[in-house]
Amino acid sequence: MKQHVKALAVHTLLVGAVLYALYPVLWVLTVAFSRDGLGEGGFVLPWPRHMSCVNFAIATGAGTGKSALFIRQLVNSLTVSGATAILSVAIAAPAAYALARMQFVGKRAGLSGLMLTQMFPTVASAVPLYFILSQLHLLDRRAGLVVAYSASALPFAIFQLKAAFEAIPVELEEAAMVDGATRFVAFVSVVLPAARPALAITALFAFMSAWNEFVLAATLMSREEAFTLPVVLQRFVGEHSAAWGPFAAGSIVVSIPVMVIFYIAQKQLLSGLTAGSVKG
Amino acid sequence: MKPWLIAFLTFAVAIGLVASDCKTAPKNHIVLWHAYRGAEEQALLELTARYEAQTGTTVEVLAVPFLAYASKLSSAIEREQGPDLFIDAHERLGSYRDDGLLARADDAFPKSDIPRYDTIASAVARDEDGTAWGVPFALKGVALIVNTNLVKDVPDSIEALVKQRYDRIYPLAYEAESAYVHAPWLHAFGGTMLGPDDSYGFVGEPARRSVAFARRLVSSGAVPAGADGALVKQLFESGKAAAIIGGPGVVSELPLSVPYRVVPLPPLHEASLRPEPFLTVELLFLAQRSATRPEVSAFARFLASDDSAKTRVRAQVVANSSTWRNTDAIAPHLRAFHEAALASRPMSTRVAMRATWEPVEQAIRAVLRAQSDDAAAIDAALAESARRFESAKPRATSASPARGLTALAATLFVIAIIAYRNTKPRFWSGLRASAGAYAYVMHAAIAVFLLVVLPLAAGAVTSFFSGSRNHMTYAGIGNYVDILTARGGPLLGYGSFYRTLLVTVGWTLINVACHVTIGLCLAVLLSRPLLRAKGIYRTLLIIPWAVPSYVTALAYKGMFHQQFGAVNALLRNFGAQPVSWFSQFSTAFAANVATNVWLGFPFMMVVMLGALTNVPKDVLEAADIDGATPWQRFRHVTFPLLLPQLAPAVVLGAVWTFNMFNVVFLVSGGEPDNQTDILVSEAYRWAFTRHAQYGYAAAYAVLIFGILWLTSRFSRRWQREGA
Amino acid sequence: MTASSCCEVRNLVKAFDRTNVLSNVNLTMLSGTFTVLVGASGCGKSTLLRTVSGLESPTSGSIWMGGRDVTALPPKDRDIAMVFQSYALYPHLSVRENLAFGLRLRRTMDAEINIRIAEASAMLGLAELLDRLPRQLSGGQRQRVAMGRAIVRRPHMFLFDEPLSNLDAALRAEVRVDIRKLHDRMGGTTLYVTHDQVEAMTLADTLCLLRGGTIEQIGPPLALFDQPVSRYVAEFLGSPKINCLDGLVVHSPSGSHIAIGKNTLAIPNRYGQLVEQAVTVGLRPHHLVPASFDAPQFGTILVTFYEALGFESYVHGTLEGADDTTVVMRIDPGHRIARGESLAVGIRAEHPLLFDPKTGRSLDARP
Repeated sequence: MKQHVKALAVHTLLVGAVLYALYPVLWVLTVAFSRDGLGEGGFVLPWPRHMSCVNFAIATGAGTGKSALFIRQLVNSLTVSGATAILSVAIAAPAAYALARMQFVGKRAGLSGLMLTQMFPTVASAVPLYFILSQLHLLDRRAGLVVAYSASALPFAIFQLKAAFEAIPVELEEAAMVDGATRFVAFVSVVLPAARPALAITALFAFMSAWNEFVLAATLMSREEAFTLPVVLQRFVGEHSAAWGPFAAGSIVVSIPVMVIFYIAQKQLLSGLTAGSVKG
Repeated sequence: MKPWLIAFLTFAVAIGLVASDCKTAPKNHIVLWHAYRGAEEQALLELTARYEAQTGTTVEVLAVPFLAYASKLSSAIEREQGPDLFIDAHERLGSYRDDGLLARADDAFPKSDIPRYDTIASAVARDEDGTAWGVPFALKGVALIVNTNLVKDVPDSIEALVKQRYDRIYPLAYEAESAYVHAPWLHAFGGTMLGPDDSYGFVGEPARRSVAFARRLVSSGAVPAGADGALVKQLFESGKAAAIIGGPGVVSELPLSVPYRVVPLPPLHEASLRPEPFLTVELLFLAQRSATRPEVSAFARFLASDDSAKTRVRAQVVANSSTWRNTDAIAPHLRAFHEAALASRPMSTRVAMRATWEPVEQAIRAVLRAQSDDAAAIDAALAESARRFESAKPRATSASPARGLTALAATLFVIAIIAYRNTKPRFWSGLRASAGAYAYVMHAAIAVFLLVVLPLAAGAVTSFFSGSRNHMTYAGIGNYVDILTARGGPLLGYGSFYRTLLVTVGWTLINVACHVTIGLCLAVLLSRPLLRAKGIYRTLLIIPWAVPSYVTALAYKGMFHQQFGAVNALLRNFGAQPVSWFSQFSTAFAANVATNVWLGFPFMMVVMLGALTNVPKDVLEAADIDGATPWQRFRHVTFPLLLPQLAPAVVLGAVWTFNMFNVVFLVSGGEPDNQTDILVSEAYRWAFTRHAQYGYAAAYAVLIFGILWLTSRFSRRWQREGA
Repeated sequence: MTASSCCEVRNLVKAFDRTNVLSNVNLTMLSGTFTVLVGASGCGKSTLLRTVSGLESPTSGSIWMGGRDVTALPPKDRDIAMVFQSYALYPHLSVRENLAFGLRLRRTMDAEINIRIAEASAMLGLAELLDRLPRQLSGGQRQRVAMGRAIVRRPHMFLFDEPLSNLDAALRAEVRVDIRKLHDRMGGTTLYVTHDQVEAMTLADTLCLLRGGTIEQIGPPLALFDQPVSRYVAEFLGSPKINCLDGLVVHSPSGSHIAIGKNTLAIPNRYGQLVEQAVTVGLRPHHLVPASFDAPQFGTILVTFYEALGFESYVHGTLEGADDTTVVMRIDPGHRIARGESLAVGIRAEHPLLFDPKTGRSLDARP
């Protein structure tokens, strides 16, 4: 009986949290599904007056015969964000491993330097970044976006992975090295698999940061087929008026892949894989 | 070995896909940028296709989001990239020309063509000595849009319009707190926004009478208070406003069910002049790098030709006067907007114009929200706004670069000496021994240095320069002195560095505390082993993170609206008085915090869920056996074990919150009177609204960096002493 | 270096932050022998093992294996296998993959891998567990997988780092025997670290007792037990611990004896040169017996505690007339002794162990 009461309390709390999380999104949904805006507002429960999917048609280009372009841009977003996730983890993981396990000159300076980069507001750095990327011939290429996103996702990725690697028993690598692995092979074939949840979470963070970014994408890319979805969405905001309906509909569309990815990946993300590897 | 092989292959494929982009720029290829959407974009694409078919020239049309338009243009053109031709509002002509981004447009807009366009449009596309810097394209301005069901005959004055009484319907709705829409009142009373010689125009009798007029409109209940563009449109669509002031963009998105008519703004009885709205003339600009390409001029001539105008007039108010001679085929609302446009006042092309919006809107807000009508309050608000305009002007500070260079050399020398003296005897052998580790960190180090550190450092260097972009002069530490002395104003006055710092610190502490608490509680609940529907809960709870924050932040702003927001509706249901959320510091700040907490807790929750899986179960069982209550177990076992794993996320979360400007920008917008601005949103204001003073913004950025750095150093020291 | 020596440690010094954890260690392991490193915690035994494995590199000195200097070689090139205290099973691999891991790294043919896995799992009883993940195994099973992972490799040398310390006592005794059997069957050379003296005594061909980073004594286990070079060695080995009594060597016409308080203990004449010298007398619990004709009374102990283990019993008590020094003696389980009883004890030792009370070194004069 006591168990039931407890479970009920937990579910009540969680349902409350879900309502809190969903409520503003319901407004966005209402705007997205309304044919003619919200009406005069001033009510508590969001619900469209005239249900319609016309905003979705506009946002996805189905209404204007541009759905092929929209799909192309969706693919852009997926490849850019996916490549950012993979590239940033691929670069961050060895660095985080070295920071977690090895002693070297400049380690402390490097760690605090990484932290310092997060403290500097980016207000005046967009122009220099544009200049550097143009020098690297990375303008107007998805590769340029991937490189820029990955670099900015690196500091957090490195901190996150360093903590995860430190939680992995050092004996695992030692066993691998005795078994005939070089340090690098031990890292790749033992440490990385054992840190899979942390790698997945870090990749997800990098993916999310790339998925929602629009200022850099709009600045660096100069062809419509190369745009990512947030750039396309932002086009519904003008100087003096904004098309909230399609914008809201587009935002909903943009958030669906993220939620699907999260739902599929959450087992990976949250499994305690290191349990049972050492000791009883 | 297999999974990592798969990862590697995915990686290779992704890189291959991404690297496959290749830009080919064939000759006879023209790039055109615009920010149009909907019917205007369709018309442009149709014309382009026609031109391509006629001439064999290829044209690449790119629609750029308005928010990124200006910065993208200037970065691209400066780097010899970007468009050959672009469409933008005439008020940017001044800064584009001064920045050297524009080519003369005389080939595309010869003197002989002047009569082809509306006089008002021809005038703004040419400067005093007759040089053409753009080709007139379209006219944008506001007019009165009336619901013909409610307003049969448009009254002959604004006063008559608002005197009409309906049941729960506003006779007039407009963005009362927007300087752009307020401008007609100001002009009617004989004022200007920007006076001669870039002086501040929102002063004296015209300004006073215009704000008093606006206040009467609002306080009489005829006009809704604090409405933004979306709300104005919403009221009109739902029949809750009989008339609104808006532009063609509003009309094109109205549902068919609303019968409307567009008319020029009626005059004000009590004013002697006509209420001229601001006019924006959209111009076709030729980029500097295309100055010598005749085909670009030819294309521009084509787009602006009377023939093309026949196509464009389906969607916009074209600037070609011949089009308007026979208006039978033209939509009535566009005719009305054209009529209104001819009676409008083009905005100044001066760079200083953009710096007037913020202080003017502040004055309007102060008056509209004041408790009393007294004239002294209006005068005080106007005086304060004039002071703000003056204090935001670029200072003519300049310093000798020689001293700066000497200081730089001295600093480098001192750093070199310190580095040399701190070099341990085994430094070089240590370096050799570190070679193996460097192979692991090299890629990350290069990437971060090149793409993160270098741009930040370059940005930091601009903090030693003053003036607006491309007209920077070396100022030494002038910017820093200005900021730290609050430009001579009171040190704790509104908008001063120190006051903003206090707000920022409070903002950070409250947000991080809420993020961590909520994230931790949810993570603990979700990691209960026997919980059902775990996956569903987890997925639903990350929604705030998954939906683009731009939209949800604006949804929050809507929820906190005084009259129409859901929060006040809820309060009313409980019998409480509705709160005007953005007119006091405390409530505006609370609204910002509520939004940011909502946006940020899923991130913390996911981090903590991951960390919780690393807490060994046997330790928890040991605590159970030792007789710990669940709370004690959490407090003394789980939490200490989580702490080291959380530290990076919490520290970074704090740093990110400290610099989280978009929530402040989108929700409270700094209201009231920039009191809820945090340091970084203040920095953005300097960079983008106040004369584009990048140096000043960069100095803010460096100071923010300094504060965070010192805080982290001291907190680490305290930690060590505490341990 | 002889042909049959498998591994040799020469003049090994290992320092962490300028403190020597190992100083000047020399150790030779012959092919096919079982060497156990034993000592209190912090004595450097694990460091020595890890240095031999190559996981740590020595500050100075060298390691030789099969006639080659391997000091600079990484662990993977030393042809060794190691069983860790924590087992260090790869959490993401099944038991079979754990076993195959090292072989795959050495590019062993699949057929060969399967043969070796079958062999090892038969030896260790792992056949049913092959497809499980480490987290699905019990502690004992994990330990066996860890050993299996070493066995399949067929290395020249096995290294064990306290492999039994995470098991319960019964299982430990069982696995201990298994390890020794495996060693005999595999014929490899084994270096084994433990802090448990029972394990050390039962497993070792050569027992190496470390103290403070140096080798205190090395030799066959019984040699260390019977002829310890120091009081430290004598106290370390044997359970219950050896009794150490303070005494004085006295020479009288009837022969030499040691006076322990009021009690006297006859000693062979060859200790004659120790006259009037203070000594520490080491008497193992089984050297003390109830006084009888064979073992004339040496003193009386007042029983304070009686431990019956079933197959033998221990009596704890204080020796009267000797500042109530505490002693432990072993008696047959048939005796029933109560607390507070007095017991006359004799000594059935050919010779007591004598140590210098100041240095703790053995005073045993025998060659």
